[in-house]
This record gives sequence, C-alpha cells and structure tokens, in this order.
Amino acid sequence: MKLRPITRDDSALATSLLAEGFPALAETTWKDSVTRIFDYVERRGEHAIGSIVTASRGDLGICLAIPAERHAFAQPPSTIFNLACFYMRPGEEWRTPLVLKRLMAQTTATYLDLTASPVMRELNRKIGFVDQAGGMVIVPLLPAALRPSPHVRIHTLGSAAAAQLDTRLRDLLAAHKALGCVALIVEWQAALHPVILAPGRRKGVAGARVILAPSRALLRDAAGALARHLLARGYLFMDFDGDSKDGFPPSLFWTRSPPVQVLGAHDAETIDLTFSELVFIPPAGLLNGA
Amino acid sequence: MTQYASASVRETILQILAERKLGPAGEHDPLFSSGLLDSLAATEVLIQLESEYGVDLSDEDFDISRIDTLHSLEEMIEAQPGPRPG
Repeated sequence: MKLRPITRDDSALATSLLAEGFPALAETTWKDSVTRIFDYVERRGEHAIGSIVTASRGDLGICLAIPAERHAFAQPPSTIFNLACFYMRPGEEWRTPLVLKRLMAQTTATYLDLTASPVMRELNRKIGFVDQAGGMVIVPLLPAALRPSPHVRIHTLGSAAAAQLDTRLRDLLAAHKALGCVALIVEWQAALHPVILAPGRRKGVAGARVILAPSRALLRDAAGALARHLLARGYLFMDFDGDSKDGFPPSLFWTRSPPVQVLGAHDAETIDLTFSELVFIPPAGLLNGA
Repeated sequence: MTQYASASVRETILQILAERKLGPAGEHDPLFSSGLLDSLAATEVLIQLESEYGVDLSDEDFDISRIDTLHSLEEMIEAQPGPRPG
C-alpha cells in the first residue's frame, strides 16, 4: 500500500474517487471543488492537495489534505492541514488508521478534521486528535437581530476601516469573499477584528458558519449586529463550534454535529477554519467516512 | 505451552473479539480484510505495534496485510529488531 500525492494531473481520478465516496454531491460539483483547491494550493507555490491510496490491485481510497497558514491570531504563524473527504473503498476501510498515520508524517504540522463520521471521530481520538469544543452553537438570527450590540460596528471590505487592517488580514478576507464567504471587519473593544462566515445549510435553511473569529466573546457581544448584517443577506442562522450557548441570544446547542478535531498545537479560544473544506466544498459533501 | 513474541498484541485482539462476542480466531483466519474486525480494532493493534514493539508505521515498506492474521502478525513481530514487552 502506497500513498501518492494528488497533483493537477490526477484531477480526473481524484474527482472520480470523491464522487464514488461522497455521492451526495454530483461529479461536476466535485470537479469544481477539486479545481478550486488546486487553484488555491498552487497560488501557495505547492502542488499536492492530498493523497491517493494505491496498491498493486488498484486505487484503494483518497484523502484530501488542504494546507493553510494560520496567521490571523497565531504568533508565530503555523501550518495546518485540513484532512478532508477521507474515503476508502469497501473492504479497505480497515487500512484507514495506517493511511492517517502516513498522511500525518509531518510531525510539526497541526491537523484538522471538521466533518468526521461517528466512526472516524472515534478513530481520530484513538490516534491523538482532541475535540476542540463540545458542540455547535446555532444562533437563529431573527430573535438575535433584536438584541443590541453596544460599541460594536460591522464594516465591510470596501469600507475605510478595511484600510486600517494589516495587509495579510485584508488579503485573507478578500480571498474568502472571492470564495463566496461573508468577510467582515468587526469593531469591538476599540479594535478591528477580521470575522469570516462560510455559507451553509441546516435542514434546508440557509445559514453561515463562523470560520474566523478572535473569540466567542466577540460573537456573543456582536451577535445582534452580526444578525442584522446576515439577515439582510438572506441568512437565517449563524453557527460555530463552542462549549456552551450561555450568554448568546436564544440558541440551540447541538452535540450531534461533527466536532472540530485537532491534532497538534491549537488555540481553542480562537476560531480559525480558513481555507478549509468548509469554503471549498459545498456542505452536502462534508462528511468524512471510515 | 507456546510462547508468542506477539503475546501482548494477541491479547488485545482476542479481547476485542471477546468483547464483540465474535469468538476466538484461528491462526490463519483473516481478521480485518474479512470484515471480522473493523478500522477501530485495526487502530488499537497498530498503536500497540508502534508503542510496544517499535514498529515504524510511517515506513513505506510496512505492509499492513501482515497484521491480518495472528500467524502473520507473529512472524512480523518475530522479525522485528529490538525489545519486546515482557
């Protein structure tokens, strides 16, 4: 059994394996997602987006490993890999732990799994991943919009406030806006903070998941202002991983969603899931199996 | 009585089989490729091989099919240099 890096030349094979493993998304959708990830990775000067698992009898499976640099809140910046869309063909699932061990041979990096199936979550925990939070806080935006957010202002990328942000943060916001996310600058506690939300759906209802925020305290204090901004753009809920819904507007605390699982150094206070599968792959395909 | 180099990991496998009420396995019965045991059980075995027997799982030459039967597991551990758990 070998792992072969997925390069641009393997796009068709990768698309085919992903469509086979995750049929909830059409092959054309997978093709678009694979192209988007390659475009991003190649802009970073890299060429691989994960690995195809092979053996003498053929291809056994696939795992995307999307690299990203964490610099918004991490000092010094660190490298992470989002392990996404893990699929082993029927009968080959038992090879999963060895594939993961090989994929994670770069010991200095941090690894993230955001959409693991229940079996995969357990397997991840056995090899050292930890759950970053106990569940998902889901904030319905209609009641939240009635809540005041004193001393909080929301700015968009085109505003004068954006010019005051560090160039790298501005670029991070712009890149995610181009990928279809809501990219904002939140004025809170007399400072400007980048906040990014990725479009998603729950039970067919449109919402947005927080993928970048300096703290959940900001989300709590800015919930009213964020709700008003998001409602005006057609989103009906906002969600993010957390340990409690205390202090938020009337919310749900959902423990059945896949937790953010992390292996390696991480700061549980901040939320940084930028350049992850949440921005490259439409939600219906986001469930890693084992 | 047979002394197995793989006694510790063998015990883990037999314990998992017992917990899942699957009964004992023969020396040459496929454990994983047959679907008898799943990826979570394979994880337990691999972690034990790494931590107790010093098996380098990142080595591309490590062949996972060698953990598929108790017999091949024993052969692999016999061939492994270094100390073994007592």
